[in-house]
Amino acid sequence: MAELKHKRVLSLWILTVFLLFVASIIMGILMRLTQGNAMKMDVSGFFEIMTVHGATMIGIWFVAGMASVHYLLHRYVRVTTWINLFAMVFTVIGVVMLWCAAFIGKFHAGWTFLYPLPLFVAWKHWATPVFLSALGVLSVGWLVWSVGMLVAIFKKYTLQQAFGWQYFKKVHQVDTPPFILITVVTLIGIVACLLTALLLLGLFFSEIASGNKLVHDALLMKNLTYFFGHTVANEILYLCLATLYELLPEVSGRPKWKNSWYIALAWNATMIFILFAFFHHMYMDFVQPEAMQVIGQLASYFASLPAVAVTLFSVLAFVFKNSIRWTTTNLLFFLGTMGWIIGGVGAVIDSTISANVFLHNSLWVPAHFHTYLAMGSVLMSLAFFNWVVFDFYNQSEPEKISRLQIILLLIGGFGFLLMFYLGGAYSIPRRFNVYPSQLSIGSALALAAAAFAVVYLIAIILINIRIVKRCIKIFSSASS
Amino acid sequence: MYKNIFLCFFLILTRSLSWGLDGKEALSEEENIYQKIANVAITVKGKEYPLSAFYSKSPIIIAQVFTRCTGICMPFLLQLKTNLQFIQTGKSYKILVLSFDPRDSESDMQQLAETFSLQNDSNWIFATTDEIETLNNSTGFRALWDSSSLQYSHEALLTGINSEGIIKKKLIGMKNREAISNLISEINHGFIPSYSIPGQNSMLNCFNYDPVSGKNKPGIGFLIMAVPALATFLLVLLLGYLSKGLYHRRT
Ligand code: HEM
Repeated sequence: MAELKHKRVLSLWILTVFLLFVASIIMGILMRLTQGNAMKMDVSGFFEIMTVHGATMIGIWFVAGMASVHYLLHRYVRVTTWINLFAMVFTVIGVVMLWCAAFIGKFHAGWTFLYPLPLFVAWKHWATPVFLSALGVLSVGWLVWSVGMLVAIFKKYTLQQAFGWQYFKKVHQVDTPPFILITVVTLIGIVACLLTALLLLGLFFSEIASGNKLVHDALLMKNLTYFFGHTVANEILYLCLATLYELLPEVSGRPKWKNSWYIALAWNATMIFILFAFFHHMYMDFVQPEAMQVIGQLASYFASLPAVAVTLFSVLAFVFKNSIRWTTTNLLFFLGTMGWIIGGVGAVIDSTISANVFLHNSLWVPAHFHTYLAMGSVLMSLAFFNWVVFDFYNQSEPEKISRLQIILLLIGGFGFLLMFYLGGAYSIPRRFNVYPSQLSIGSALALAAAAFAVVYLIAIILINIRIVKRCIKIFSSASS
Repeated sequence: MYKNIFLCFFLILTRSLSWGLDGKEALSEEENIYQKIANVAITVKGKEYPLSAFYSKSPIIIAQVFTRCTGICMPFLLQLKTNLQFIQTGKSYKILVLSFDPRDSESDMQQLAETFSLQNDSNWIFATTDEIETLNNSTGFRALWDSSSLQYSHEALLTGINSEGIIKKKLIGMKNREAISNLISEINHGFIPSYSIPGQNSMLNCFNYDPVSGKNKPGIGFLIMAVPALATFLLVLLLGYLSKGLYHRRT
């Protein structure tokens, strides 16, 4: 059983994530309403909101995944609370700086801050350094958190055990839980992409400090940006999958999943391939040699296929071969896996060079990543939150599911996503605040998407009421 | 390992040596780029028109020459004419051959057109202007009078103007067909792939263009891309090494 202080920190994380999530969904709805011509927002206002929405959503679901993994790690190894607190302080400071840069400083270069956009100042001069520093603060906080967890794991497991390499031998004495294996490969990817973010920010600051006399290679900056951005977005999912492997059998009243050579092989392969998959963001960058574009396509396939294959196989076999005690938690895990797979198929299509020629920078891109985030990792994290608020009190979750909440979630979520996909199919470009008259279908789709998003928001609030109440209780009872 | 260290060192060295060499031409070709061209009055076949009368109909390429040139002007025009015969872009444009020498008269320019058998080609316009200074400032063209040779010392300059009168691209020197084809495409709002060549103020390019082989060679930036992944790999090895000690102590 986790100590009270761990529960308190986790409940604070959950409350923060929930608050910021609701705010960010409202921002998303405002964007869709603007694109649907139902309301007017000035250009800079729209892109400020888009920047904050993107950065906040990625940030909160990243910390949600990290906090969940941190909590579950206590079952196997000793992890200190101070790294969790350190990460929280840095996250709060980073988010405040980020919101200030966008809403007070009017910074609106997008959460991907693609070079050289942040240096073409169309906002207050201090906003660019503050935005970049915010990302620096977040990166440092999360880097310490990730390395701290890795250190804790390596104190108990050797390198070979942590990667599950013993399963490639005929006999092995030590077992590595799948949760530990997935956590290790994910944290390693996270460390790599956070180091990349720090390097990238260093390059930005060197250019700013030189009074823009030093000019960096746009290709290098874009490569680094997508190594960071693409990888971190994917690792969010893997954090959620680690919790799924750990909890799905448990909450369904079944024995724990065991590790095996094919699970170890799949996740080791994912760890390597995910580092090269970002090359699919560079297809339009003609200077990049063709070989790298081909590597990008193949790595995108191989990064997703092994993990998808073993997880989908395990989840489907588990669900259809066993009589399961269905609860909100395992249902959300199951639906989250489906969302991840559907979004993953969209991603694989987009990463195929011949399709990317048509889909590049169209609404297909937000379509696929919203699918695996909004209906994938968000649902898996909510599953964990839902489970943990009972674990706080050493209770097991009642076998009752609110059908209304789930139906609203599915209609709202997939309806909202469908409008993005249709937009992609009609070649509506992404990141337009309003669509020109030639693309009026884009406005109609945006309006419908806004309506679905409101339904999604209602479902999210309903699902979270119990979670929030219990988190407030554990937080206040501990502090009183 | 030593080979890689040597390669890094060599790349840094060659990069630093090349900084001083290639910055100059790139800068002058970029001078006044994306500025609106001065709308000077030009005289064609005895009639005066504002420059905008031409570029507003179709994009233009201005070639600044003088008829008494014993140097580059004639080969420059000849090469331009030959190249254009082979370039089938399907894009609209006109060539405006404009004298920068105040001594050149309208009939000198018509004679020049006849020398190249272009007097009846509607794509070619031969003209003079009384506002040479203004035009030179606008295109960034420089011509120095050398009284000993009675010649101007000048660059061979092509200035591409789009139909909004914006200087989209400049070519200095005798350029090949591909460069001219890109110029035509660019003044017609076409996309021209371009990649910055290393200059004095940039040093971390992923690739370096080698004009001799026409190929891109990996540069320092390419190695930098791998640094975070390598650092992570080393960190994991270190943690693994430390944990091995701990593990043995435990068991
Ligand atoms: C119902 C909830 C949501 C709504 C209404 C919404 C809406 C939007 C809209 C309208 C855009 C701009 C699309 C464009 O035209 O390019 C956008 C971008 C984005 N959204 Fe969402 N979104 C929602 C949920 C999420 C979630 C759950 C995540 C992540 C966990 C997320 C992450 C992002 C990111 C990263 C961007 C890209 C921003 C950029 O291009 O810089 N969104 N969203």
